[in-house]
Amino acid sequence: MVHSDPTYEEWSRLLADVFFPLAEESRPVYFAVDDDILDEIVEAENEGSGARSLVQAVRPRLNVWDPSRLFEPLATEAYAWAGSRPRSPIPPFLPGLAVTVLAASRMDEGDGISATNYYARLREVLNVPNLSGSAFRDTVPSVFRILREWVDGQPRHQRGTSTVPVVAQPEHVGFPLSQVQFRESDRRKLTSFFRQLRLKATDSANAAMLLAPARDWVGRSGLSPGAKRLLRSPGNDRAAIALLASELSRWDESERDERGRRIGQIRLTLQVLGQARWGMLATRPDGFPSAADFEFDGRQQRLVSSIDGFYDPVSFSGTGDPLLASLLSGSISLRCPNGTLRFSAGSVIPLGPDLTVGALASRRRIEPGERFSVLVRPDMEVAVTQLLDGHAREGWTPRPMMSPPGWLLISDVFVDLPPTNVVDGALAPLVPSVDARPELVGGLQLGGQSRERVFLANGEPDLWVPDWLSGQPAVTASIDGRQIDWGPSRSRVALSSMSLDAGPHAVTLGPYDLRFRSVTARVPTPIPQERVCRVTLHLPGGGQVGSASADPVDVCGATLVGSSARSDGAPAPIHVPYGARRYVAVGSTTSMAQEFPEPDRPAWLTETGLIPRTFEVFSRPGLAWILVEWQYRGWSVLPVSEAMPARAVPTSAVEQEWARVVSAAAEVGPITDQWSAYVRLAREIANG
Amino acid sequence: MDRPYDLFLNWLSEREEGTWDDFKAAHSWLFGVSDETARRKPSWTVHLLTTLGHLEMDWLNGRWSVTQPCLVNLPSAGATAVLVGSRPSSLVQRLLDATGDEATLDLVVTEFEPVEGPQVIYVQYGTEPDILGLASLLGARFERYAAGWMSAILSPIADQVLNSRERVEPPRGYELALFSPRRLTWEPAPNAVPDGLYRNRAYGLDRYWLKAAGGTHEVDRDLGVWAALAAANRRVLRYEGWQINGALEVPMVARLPHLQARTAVLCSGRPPVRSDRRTVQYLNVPRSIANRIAASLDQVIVDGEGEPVA
Repeated sequence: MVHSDPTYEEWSRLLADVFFPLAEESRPVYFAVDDDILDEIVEAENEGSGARSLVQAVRPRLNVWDPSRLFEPLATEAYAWAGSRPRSPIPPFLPGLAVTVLAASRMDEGDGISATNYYARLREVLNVPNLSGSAFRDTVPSVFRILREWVDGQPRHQRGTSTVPVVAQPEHVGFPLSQVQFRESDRRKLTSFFRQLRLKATDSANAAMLLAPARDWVGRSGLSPGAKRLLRSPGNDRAAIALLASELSRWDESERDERGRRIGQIRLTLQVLGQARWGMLATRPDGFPSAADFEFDGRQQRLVSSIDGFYDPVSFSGTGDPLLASLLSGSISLRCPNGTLRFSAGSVIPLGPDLTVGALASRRRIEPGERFSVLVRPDMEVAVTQLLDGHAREGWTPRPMMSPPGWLLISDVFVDLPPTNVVDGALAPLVPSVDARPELVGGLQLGGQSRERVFLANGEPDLWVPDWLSGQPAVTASIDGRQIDWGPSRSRVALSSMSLDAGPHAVTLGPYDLRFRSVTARVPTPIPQERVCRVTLHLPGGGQVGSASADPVDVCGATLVGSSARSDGAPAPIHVPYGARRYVAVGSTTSMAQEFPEPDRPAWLTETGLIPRTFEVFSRPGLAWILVEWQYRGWSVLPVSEAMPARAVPTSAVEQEWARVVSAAAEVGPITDQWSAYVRLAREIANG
Repeated sequence: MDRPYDLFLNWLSEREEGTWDDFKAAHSWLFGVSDETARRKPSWTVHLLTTLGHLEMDWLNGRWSVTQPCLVNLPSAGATAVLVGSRPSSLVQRLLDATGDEATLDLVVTEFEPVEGPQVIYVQYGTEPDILGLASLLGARFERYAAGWMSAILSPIADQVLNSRERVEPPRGYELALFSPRRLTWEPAPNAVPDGLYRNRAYGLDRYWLKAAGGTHEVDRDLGVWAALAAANRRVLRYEGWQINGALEVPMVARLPHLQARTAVLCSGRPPVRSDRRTVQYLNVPRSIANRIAASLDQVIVDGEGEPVA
């Protein structure tokens, strides 16, 4: 519990703990005092109490009766402390310096950063109307230098690296101004930027690449004027990059408000099974109450949480529900004493399948290959329609009956790939993309989930590049040392179109390095039988279909597996070659010597590009041989059955023909006892 | 780059098995690369590949696996077999080796590129020992008449409906369409009161409910369509006889159910061919097979003129 009016000495310790905490790391630290942080330090119930308390503690230590020498006691104290050995671990002059920084933090963006403006604020803060600039110039800069030496002189930089400049710009007043370029509230707002780009702490190593998108974000960030200046000014690149790296490296991946409290996220939901119904789902960050009344637009919404991490879904009464209307009105915050839930509606809101709620839920961006619905404001309808006409799969459908007032819902939207041209920023939610860093997306992956991803050759993945990175003209990409030619959008490169050889590959893009391997084949590993998919049929072999007594068999592709299943029982046909002069079916008895024509070649086979060489003849009772007579090469003999010959009706015309064809083919038949018996019988008949 | 279907079958064969999500992800990426194929649905490709016998799908568990490679002899096609099932690179290489200049078996390989689907690989053989020798080299099975035995085990459609999930009420409030057996179209339905086949378009795959006197069942689309046709006594199965075998023709909207379609496809190895009458034809189907398929669908085949065939 902090005393509401700390003493001067207590303020020293509190300020040191907040701005120069022991952290054992070399990060830039700012003495970024402002009204908000002072209120937090004293846990103020009323805005401004912190600043009033600080000034109240500091004024007695200053020469308020002689404003021309106002800060002399402060400087004297600082010099005495700096020269003493041993000395107290916390510099006693911190509260005095803090009020000079507080004055800098109150300078509006429109004021500019001139010394005149600064002194005006300082007079207001200290309530010393006739304070002269020289009183500040002659003493305070030296105290800032002592502060810098103290911070930088700590063993192992345990209190960070001072950001107090060696030479202040503007002269003198640049010292306090340098500390509030980036306030604590700005630092917290940076979490919104990190979250938008889905960054991770490990991305801090590439902070230089983040400067361009951060500058782009600043305009809509709500940062303080000083922070905007720091990030935007070309001369501040090094400081800005160091700041981004420092903040990102310590980020815990939660978004926070200006007071440092976590912000919960609201997602709009649409239940499409059963009665279509709109609703919302809110996350419940740590520290949020399990049940609370949240305020919005003068109304209240009670939220209750029955599982960790989320409030229970809320269903709206209809498309005219006031909370739905508020959510879709733009940016909305639902507040309770312990936290804030936030939703920001753009002009295009994608809604994708969400397993948490079993419904469609709003997303930042469309995901490739997923069925989405999209809420569109009327002014974007034409642009969205054009984009979907060109890049979505067919089948998307406007659903005016299900749309909330002032919006159009479009269902069944699939967008698999980003357009190759540049699209309007408002349509960005409809363009699949990566946010934080380049990624390998898609491809025909074979395995290697752990360290190295493996893809089928010609199925190499695409290289997706986040907009913020692709927008930097100086960034180039290469694969295996070969320059990649980017498309006009610079957001996706199809590596499969680059005719890569199978093997390991390395993609380099700015500071990023992505690796994968392509192969033409994988070492086969038999699938366990229980994981083989099949169609199970219950044959009515003694029981009713579907009952336990039926005989189940499994069909898998073109094969049949099962306890009593046999799929190979079909009789083997005799393949008879096309193109002969004539064909004779010869029986095992002399009553069968039947000539037959060759059939036409099936048209579907020739259309398919096949030239059939044979046609099929199936065995039938009594058939023993098929004799084929060719134009120039005599006869050929095809066996059908193993039956031995027997005379039927002697001296018939058929028997004469039987004997004639068998005798003609006698020399080309198989050298078997069976064929020899046929030849002997044929000659007996021929010889009478 | 290979044709998408061939590369996709190659990938499926190398992977051997996976989840429906894997399938969709790879499909979206591969078929989305070209404008020509960008609108191909993964569910359509599953239907095509399962019909061709290359893949089996377990919808209940959201998994797929490729099928064992098999050389399927085609009826009355002159010692011609078609390669069905898994087609990894190693198998294709062994096939090329077995039929190349150094080969000792009497085999001729022909590749056919259908409008839709992966290459159809035909193997013409001199004698049965030649094709059995190839099957052995490939580690594949040889089926002398797969369409024959498959047609003999087709379950009657009424039994298949009864085996589907039952007592599921059709959904309310989200786009509902009723199948019209008379017009062969899907028509918006304000409610699910009359009996019939309903389609519910939600996120994920479309879902189908068959409402009949015996209750409501959630059914596979194709099964539902043929059950609705049978209930309405609507005859739409035609057969055009050729000198050898013939063409089995169905309306595009009423594609054959899974196993019936595969039975018909295994007569030619080719995916069904679209006609200009908004129908598809399964080629080289023997009359006996067509009759069994019709019986399983509670249909009577009509000839090209629309007359019932005895």
